[in-house]
Amino acid sequence: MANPGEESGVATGTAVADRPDVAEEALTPWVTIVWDDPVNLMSYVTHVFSSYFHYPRPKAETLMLRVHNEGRAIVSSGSREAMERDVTAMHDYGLWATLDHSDAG
Amino acid sequence: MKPFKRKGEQIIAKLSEHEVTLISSLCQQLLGLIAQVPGYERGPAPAPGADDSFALWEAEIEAGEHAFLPDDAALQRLFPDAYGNDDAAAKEFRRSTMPWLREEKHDQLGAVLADLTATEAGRHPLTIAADHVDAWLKTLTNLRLAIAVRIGITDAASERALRRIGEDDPRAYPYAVYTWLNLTQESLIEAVTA
Repeated sequence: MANPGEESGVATGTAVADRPDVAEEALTPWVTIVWDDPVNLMSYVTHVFSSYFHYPRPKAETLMLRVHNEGRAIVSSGSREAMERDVTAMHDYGLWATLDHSDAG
Repeated sequence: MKPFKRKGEQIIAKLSEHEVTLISSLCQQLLGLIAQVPGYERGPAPAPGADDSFALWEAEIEAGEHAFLPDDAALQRLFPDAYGNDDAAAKEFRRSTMPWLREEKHDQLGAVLADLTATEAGRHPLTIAADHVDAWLKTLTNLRLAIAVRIGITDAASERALRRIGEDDPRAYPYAVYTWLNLTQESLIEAVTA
């Protein structure tokens, strides 16, 4: 399978200058946020969290309920590249997801 | 529709001819919609007759430099922004991932259409092989997302309001299709996770 997250690595694009250096980035990891939407089924969202992230069923259900009740949930964290991969995968599943700095709340 | 059932590695359901025609037609419409999104090297779907290499090259430049996504609410939902408050990063991300995402959605639709064709208009049970299950789940999701945008489902309240519309409302039929797709997907998930 193609790995689109790698294509947006630090070596490409015009955003290089805007990005923090590697050491700083390691201190401020990124997060993937899944947002609530009125269309996706609760059973489907749980299925996505358990099959894509390999989370145990109870954790997948807890995250799904957090999305449903609080409007959003952080579902993974790590490097910017890893989070771009996760967000792309969520978009492939039809979930509404964004990535952000972990300190952005 | 009879509910989906697991049979070994496969998922089976009996669809009527009408149901096969309905899902196929929705898939064709969705293929048409995502064809407006730039793909690998092809750029935005070229206009009829514009199949010369210059047009393709021009389309590629357009796709690469502008991360062009048509101004269509359903497409915006199927290809959402990855960065909520950073337009430049969102654009760069879209440039690098949108062709891949489009190709995935396109191939998933192809897998679903092939399985539907194999039923010979519902004469044989629909048989979903293990490696097509994700394509079915994702495609049913994409169809529901696209229909939801068209009939104005933006939150739980707008969805509830649709339950009270009259039969002559133009949203009545797409909403009926939407709720049928909900049941279909729910049944498929139950069979997959059983």
